[in-house]
Amino acid sequence: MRNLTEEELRVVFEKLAKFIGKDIKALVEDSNENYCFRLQKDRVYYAREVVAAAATNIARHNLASLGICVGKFTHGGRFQVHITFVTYLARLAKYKVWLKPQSEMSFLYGNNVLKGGVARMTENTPKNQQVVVFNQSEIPLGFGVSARSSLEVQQASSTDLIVLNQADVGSYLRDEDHFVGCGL
Amino acid sequence: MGGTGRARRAKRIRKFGTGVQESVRIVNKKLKLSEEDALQPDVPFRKRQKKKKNKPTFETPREYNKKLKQAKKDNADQQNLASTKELSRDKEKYYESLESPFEVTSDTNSDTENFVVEQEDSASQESSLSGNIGETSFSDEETKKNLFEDGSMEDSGTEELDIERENRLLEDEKRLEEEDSKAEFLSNTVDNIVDAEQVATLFDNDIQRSIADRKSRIALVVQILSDFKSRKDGLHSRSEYLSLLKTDIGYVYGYNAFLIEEFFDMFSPLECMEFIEASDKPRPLVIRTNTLKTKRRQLAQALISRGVNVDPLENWSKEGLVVYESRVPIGATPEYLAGYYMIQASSSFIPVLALSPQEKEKILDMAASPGGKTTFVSALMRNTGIVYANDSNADRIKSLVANIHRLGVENTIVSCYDGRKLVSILRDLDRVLLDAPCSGTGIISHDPSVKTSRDRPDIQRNSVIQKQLLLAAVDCCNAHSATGGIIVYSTCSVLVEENEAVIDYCLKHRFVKVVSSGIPFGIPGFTKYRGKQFHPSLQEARRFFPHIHNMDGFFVCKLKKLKSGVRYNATQ
Repeated sequence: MRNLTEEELRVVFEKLAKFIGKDIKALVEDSNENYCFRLQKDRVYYAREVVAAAATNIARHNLASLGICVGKFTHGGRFQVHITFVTYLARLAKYKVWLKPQSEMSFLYGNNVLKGGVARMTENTPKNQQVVVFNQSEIPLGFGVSARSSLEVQQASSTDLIVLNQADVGSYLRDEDHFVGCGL
Repeated sequence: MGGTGRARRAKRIRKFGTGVQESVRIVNKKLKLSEEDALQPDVPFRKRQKKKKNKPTFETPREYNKKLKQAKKDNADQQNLASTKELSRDKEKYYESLESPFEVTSDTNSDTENFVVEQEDSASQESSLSGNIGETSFSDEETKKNLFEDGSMEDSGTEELDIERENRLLEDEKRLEEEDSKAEFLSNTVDNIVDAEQVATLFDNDIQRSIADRKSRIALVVQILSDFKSRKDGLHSRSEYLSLLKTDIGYVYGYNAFLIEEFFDMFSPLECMEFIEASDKPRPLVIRTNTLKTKRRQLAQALISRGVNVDPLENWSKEGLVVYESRVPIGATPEYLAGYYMIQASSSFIPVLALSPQEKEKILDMAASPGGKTTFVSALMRNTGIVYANDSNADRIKSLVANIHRLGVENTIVSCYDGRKLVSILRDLDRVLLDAPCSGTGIISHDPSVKTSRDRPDIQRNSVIQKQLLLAAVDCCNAHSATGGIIVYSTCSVLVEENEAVIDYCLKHRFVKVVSSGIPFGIPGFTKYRGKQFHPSLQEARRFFPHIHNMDGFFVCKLKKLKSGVRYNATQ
């Protein structure tokens, strides 16, 4: 486990900024405790500073996880956000999509969101924008990319794609092994 | 409302009968009692007084008390002729004045005074219960009436208050139920009376027996063994019966000889059968609300709207919900995936409750996968402090990490070490939870392969690992912690070798003491078992059994570390 380098931190923040805008500071400084990012193998973890300090006891080879996993660096050096971070994204997200009850299970099976399944959407959502997907009772279900802007959505037919699924909480069941930031 | 309570009840009885009559009829038939000897159902209301003496009937406690009193009086009459006159005089006085019935009766029965007074106390309590709205004068009067006239229930009916009527109705209902259950019990015992024909062929090895035959033989042998003195046939010894029972249980329920032997060492034959039968039944499905994300009531509402029938778990748990039936898979609802609850047996709540984690502490869970207890600990700490979740198995760590992330627990550090080597890495922890790897003899309903796959060497191996882990857990803990210094040891096994013996070993080798776990139920741990003596404080440990508590069989013991270092005994 180590701190992220400047370059790595820049890549991570640029990615997160696509969800939450420039307000990264809100993520790092909570009301009473400071949070930090740590790299273990290729995964980036988000934890309170106390927890991160306590994790230095554990040898790199034996540390499986600390705090919450944000995502991982790919071999190409890009950063991929994981579903495990969705609750924090949801709290600060700028653009949101709410699903109708009948389409939430479909989204949880990894499918994209069609116009018919969208209950409402943040106004002025541009095209190709990272959005967080909620159900009607404000439970964050995942995130994706908007395929249409909110203006275009109004003209779209009910079978048109609105949000492309990037990650959803169904993957806790579907591929537990693959995505969980298990540094082992 | 359909009239007074009594009228309603009478109507109901006219329509359906009391249920007692029917059961008594069956009992009479089974016992083949003739008309005269036949048992009589307890007939409610007015007919109640016309019962003949000496016939066995189902009596209410109040009537029984009265009868007893009467009998005592008669007894006193015979024994003490000198006091007869006094008695009759007293009786007259008694009937005339209706003033002080308690004193009079106690005078007349000086030899049985205490007893009678006690009886009367209970009687007066009972009657004051019927008027418990606080009108003492009224209830006093009623008490007297009850003492003198058996039919007072009817006579006072016109004057009674609404509330009293309701009360009486409730009492009647209760009495009715009691009678029913008594009759049922009697009919059961009648069923169980040993059949001579069956007994004759009990030890006959030539007969080919089906599973059903063997089951009935098990039932028969268990009955004989439960009252061996009066039911033995004189030809066979108790051990012969026992070995017969053990082979049958092995055949019917599929246990290996070792486990049967262990269970019979622990329980009486009757209780052992209850345990084995309960071990085959599935336990209720329980979920734990993740209090980091939601509240139990909100979760229950959300689940009910999805067609899941839930109910709060018993009152010792604020987080648990029992799932009765569900139209959707309970492990794949959006609420589950978003981490609003965890599917977790009710038994695994208890070690965590015993640990009682406090906010901002450092806590270690030595064998954490799949994370039900770890996430519960974090939820009780409200995500403050630090929780080290360790597991030695890298494959199981995946589910542990997944559950931790799903439930939004951010104060954990997951490590993969052999728990015995953690001592060199983690020290000064406030609390340590050790849910030790075990043979799983308490969770046979989850994993029936335990029935055949465990043998004595397995248990011994487990026991050694458990002792090492517990010593490691004690060493990791900080005795000078301001808030904690607590170690909780739990297993899902019922065997003494994996539970009390391990704690006893630890008590001998480390400076720890057993403290009360604060769990309001459960059975005290053994302090002696088959010739082994354990430390007397082990009675503070708690055992849970499937046939008694309807949860997995398991063991919880809470230890407090007094000081660090190794204890050397005089014997060593």
